[in-house]
Amino acid sequence: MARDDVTRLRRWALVHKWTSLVCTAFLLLFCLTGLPLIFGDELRELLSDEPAFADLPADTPLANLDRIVATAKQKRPDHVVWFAFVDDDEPKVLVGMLPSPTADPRTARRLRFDARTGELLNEIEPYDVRPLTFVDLMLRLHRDLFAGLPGELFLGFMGLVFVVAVVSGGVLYAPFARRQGFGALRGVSRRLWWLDLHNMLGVVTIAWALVVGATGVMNELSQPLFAVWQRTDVQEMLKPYRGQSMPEAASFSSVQAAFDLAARTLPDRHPTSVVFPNGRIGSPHHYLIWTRGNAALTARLFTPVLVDVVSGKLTAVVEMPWYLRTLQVSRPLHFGDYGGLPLKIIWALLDLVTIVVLGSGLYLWLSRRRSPIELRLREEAATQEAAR
Amino acid sequence: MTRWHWPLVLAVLTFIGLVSALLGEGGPFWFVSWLALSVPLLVIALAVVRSLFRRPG
Repeated sequence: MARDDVTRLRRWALVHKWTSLVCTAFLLLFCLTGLPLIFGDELRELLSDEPAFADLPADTPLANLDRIVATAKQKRPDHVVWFAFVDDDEPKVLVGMLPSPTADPRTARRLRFDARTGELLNEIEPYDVRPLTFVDLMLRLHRDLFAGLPGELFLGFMGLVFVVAVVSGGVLYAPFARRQGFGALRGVSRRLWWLDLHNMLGVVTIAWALVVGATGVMNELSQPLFAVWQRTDVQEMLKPYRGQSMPEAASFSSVQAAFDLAARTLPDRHPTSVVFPNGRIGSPHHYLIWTRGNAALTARLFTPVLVDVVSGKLTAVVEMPWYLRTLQVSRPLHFGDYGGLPLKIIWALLDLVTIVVLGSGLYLWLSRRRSPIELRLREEAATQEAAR
Repeated sequence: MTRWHWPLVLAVLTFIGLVSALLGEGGPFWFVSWLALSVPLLVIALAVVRSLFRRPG
């Protein structure tokens, strides 16, 4: 091997060693907490003690959203409606309510309705008050270590370090597996077996690890990305309303009519949720209605529609910027929740493989020999020759 | 090229598996996804089983 190649390999080996060491503990946390999160929906359903939905025929029409919102207001007259979410998967409407239009979202109460009967089923306490469920605990550890935005940014950076570790591991794979058959695990010594296993598992799952790692970084950036959109594109759209105060709730037009208008405007999409005027997210003068496509691919791409909250007229169909479109596509690719239960099981197995890659990498580092890379390459070649 | 032959094939299969379920809902799209993403796992299982039978001690 030429001297330049050895120097180049030494650099890559250093990159792989240090990036791996820096992120291993956090990656183990990601993998361990991510495992139950893959089955988050199933676990929530299993552990839930919420009242069941009424047993009605599948084609039962949905209740009027205005009636559901009115019931929510009646139940919590000291709160304002923040959002209404109409679930695609189950006959559920979730109404989020805040103590004031500018209150912290963590103080939001959620009222769960049967979407067909419009009956209030139960009330979910704010995050700050209710006891943490197992899935919530896993999610918070996985997403932000209970540290909010700084935690998300830190874990996003760790995800980025992991991507570099995977790429550098891929570069190192070739020279060390040069004369060895693909997938062969040498039984000459325990350390060599684990080294071969580490290399083989890493290279076999490299594409999956890169995709899940990179999409994880994107997900950790979702808060800042939405904040950028809110401060640029959304503010640009709200220019005509600048200087006007937020309309009184009594003057709001029908939310059901706004929902229907969004559905008529975008016939190849359907509305899934509406954010009421508030001082934080969306517009203080509009219903912000999120729509999703009816086809498999576009179902992941959300497009917002702004409807004037007083007149009930369409203001705009908002084009999402490329970075939010990327975020939307990256979500399923990170969660693995877009191909039924078998895909979730495959995702969990790949997650377990990653845990073994991390564990074996740690073992190899702890049992390392202090030898230069030239010597290790010569040893590799000699061992492979002997094994032939 | 030979060093990367099988890893490249597996990477392509992984991408096919990841994208397939994104492009279509249920049916053949999901089946292709499950099948393509299972191949790397089967390769791992095969390699480990083979080495355990060969491994001395």
